[in-house]
Amino acid sequence: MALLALAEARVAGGTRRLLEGQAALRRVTAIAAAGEPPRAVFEAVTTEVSALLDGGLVALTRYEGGGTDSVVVAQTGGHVAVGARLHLTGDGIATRLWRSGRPERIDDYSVIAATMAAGLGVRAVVAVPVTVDGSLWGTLSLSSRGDPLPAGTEERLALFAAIVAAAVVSAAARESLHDLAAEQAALLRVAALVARRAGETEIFEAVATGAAGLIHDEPTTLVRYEGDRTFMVLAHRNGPAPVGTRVTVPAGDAGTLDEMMRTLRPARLDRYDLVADRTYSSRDFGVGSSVSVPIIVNGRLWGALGTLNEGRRLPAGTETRLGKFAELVASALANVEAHAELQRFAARQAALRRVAELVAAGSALGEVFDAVATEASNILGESAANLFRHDGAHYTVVATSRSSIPVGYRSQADGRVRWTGGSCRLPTLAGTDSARLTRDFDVGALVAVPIFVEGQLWGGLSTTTPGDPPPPDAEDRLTEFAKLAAAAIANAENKEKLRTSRARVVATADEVRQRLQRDVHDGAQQRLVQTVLSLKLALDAAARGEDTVGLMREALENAERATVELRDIVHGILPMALARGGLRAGIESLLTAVTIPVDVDLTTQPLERLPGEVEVTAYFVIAEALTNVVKHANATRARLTVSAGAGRLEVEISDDGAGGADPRRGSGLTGLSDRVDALDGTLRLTTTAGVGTTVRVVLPLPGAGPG
Amino acid sequence: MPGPILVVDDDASVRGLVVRILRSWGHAVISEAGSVAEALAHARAEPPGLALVDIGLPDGDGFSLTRQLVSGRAAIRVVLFSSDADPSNRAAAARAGAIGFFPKDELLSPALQRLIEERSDDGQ
Repeated sequence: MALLALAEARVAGGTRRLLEGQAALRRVTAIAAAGEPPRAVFEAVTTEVSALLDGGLVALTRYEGGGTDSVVVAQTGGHVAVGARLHLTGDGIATRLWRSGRPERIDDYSVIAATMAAGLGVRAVVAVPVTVDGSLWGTLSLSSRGDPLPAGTEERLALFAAIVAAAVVSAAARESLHDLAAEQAALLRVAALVARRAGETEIFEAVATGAAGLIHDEPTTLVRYEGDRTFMVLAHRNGPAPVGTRVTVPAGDAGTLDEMMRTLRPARLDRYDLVADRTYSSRDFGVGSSVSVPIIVNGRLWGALGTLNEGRRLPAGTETRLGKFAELVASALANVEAHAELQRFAARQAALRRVAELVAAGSALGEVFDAVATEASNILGESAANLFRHDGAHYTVVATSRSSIPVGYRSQADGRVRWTGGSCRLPTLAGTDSARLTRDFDVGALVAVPIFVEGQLWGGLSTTTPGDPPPPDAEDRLTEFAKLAAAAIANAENKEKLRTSRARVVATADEVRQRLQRDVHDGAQQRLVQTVLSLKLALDAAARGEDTVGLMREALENAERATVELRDIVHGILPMALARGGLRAGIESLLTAVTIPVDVDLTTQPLERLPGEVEVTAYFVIAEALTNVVKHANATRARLTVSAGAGRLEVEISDDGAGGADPRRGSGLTGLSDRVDALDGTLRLTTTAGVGTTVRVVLPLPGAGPG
Repeated sequence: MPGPILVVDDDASVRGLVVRILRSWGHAVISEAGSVAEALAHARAEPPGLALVDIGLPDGDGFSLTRQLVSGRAAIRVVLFSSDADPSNRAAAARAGAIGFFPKDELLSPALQRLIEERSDDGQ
């Protein structure tokens, strides 16, 4: 009876358990079917299994790292912690199951050395595989601190493992759908910003925020690759380094950026603190584990998206999600950059045009200088710009913008600065002649380019910073403005030359007129008046019957002197020989009055007449040069060569005199230089003390083609 | 007889002709100067009754010399002459205080002779 009662009781217990088991399965299935998150399903499974099996110790674990690790995702009984990670090295149940792929059982852990289970006080365990889509996903296990677990435990666990697998599959499907939607939304946000030409900062922030949203808001950073293993932070979402931070990855670095640069593929590192060379990341940025994915534009590394945390392992799939997003935003970022570059280019062109317009309008030099400094400063991101004049031994600041250096500041020219390279970059002023700038004006670094005007060093244009290196393109930007400044300076100098030349022409014309007036008045006119007076006196005398011979002779003498003087004056205005017979006749007439021997070579001068202004200019050049030779050179001989051909007339007068002629002394050659300039010709004076002087003039012949 | 006359011109041959003309008119006491400085020195030493002054002189012009001669105590009368016959010289000569202006080639004109002798006669 007792046996029967026991048997009945057992049957009743079995039935009850069976019923309870079916109820538990239904509850769990309902939770899974309701689309609850996997974690809720996992917790329901361990709770129900534990309740069903008399408060047993139940754990659900997931394999990671291709079977190297096992992570607890849910548990009931408190024997292990959720998130605990087991590295599969020993002979534990998880290791056995990974190998076999089938349910495993250990009845007495105490005989297996050094397993985690033993450390947790677990003696016996049964584990069944959770297989998702044909792959081993994890294990569901029941542990006991006492007796071995009853037979049939495997089958019971297997029923729940199937529900876990179904929940994982449906959660994965839901998650991938959700990921896709999130990814689309993030992309749309970025694309919308690009489309409405939002600022770079805003777009970069949207990329970082969007990327973070795809990986459960893990700290995410967008960096730009600047070359030379250097990355700059463009934007971040809870990242450790502020925007603008530059990080240069050491060669041979074992971090994710290093690996990503080598492979151009996503890279992951879970335990930074274990890598000796990476401890700086751990120390400086608190990096515990990280994933970096490349952003590739046109086959080249444009930048990267990176995520990291302080120590937790980043979830599996982080690389995939970030990587996909990086691929999708790459072209948008490239567009943003191209657009920004276009905008910068346009701004630069506009700034250059503003200065060029001032130059073309012939604005005052001071105004052009101020514009050059201001526009250069604008283009260089509002950093300081200084325009300075060089006078051999010193530099003097003539215009500035946003600079701490005052206009008028004068400093010793640094003899060590060589402009041959077209620019000068001083990362520090310590130890240079410019060190005073650091002390007085808080200037730590500078980049300067020279300004050459007509081949001569005129000065320079610089940008200065308190210490940061000026931008890498500072030299190029400054050079563009330096060229405009040079054009403005050359323009102004030429204008000034033209103005003084015109003033000289006017003064010379006035002087010639005055001299002519004086010469005629004091000379020929005087003589003719006397002639008239003498003749009138002679007439009176004749009327009285007196002798008139003396008065007639006097009248004749005065008339003759007047004739000579008038001839001289006319000759001075334009020699008759030149006017009638051309340059050759003019030269021959000229040479008759020269008091030293002159070797003349007129052989290549054409016989036909040259344009009047060319003949006259050449004649006066020769006349003035020969006058100088006779008056000042103390020469014994002179040589005159005139040749015409190839569209030009060349005249050269040289002597064997004392040399050392100074063109600034006396206005003879200066006046001639103006005449030569007016015909687009050149006048060159070569003079060497003790050797002699050569004046060489080349005049283009109008109507002749170039060359 | 006309009083002493001073002839001022930097050209000696012109002075010679003028002296010859004055002599032909019967003036005997005639002196000569070649510059403003010489003329002033002469005027101080022996003040003439009349001066015939060329406008163009090496150390100044006939107008300023005229102003100095007419404003002095001796009240010298001045006739200006020049080889430049520009009519504006006549007005400028009057403003400077001269009693007349003659182009050089008209120095033989009876008008000049009358001008000189009128006053000289008054002074007799």
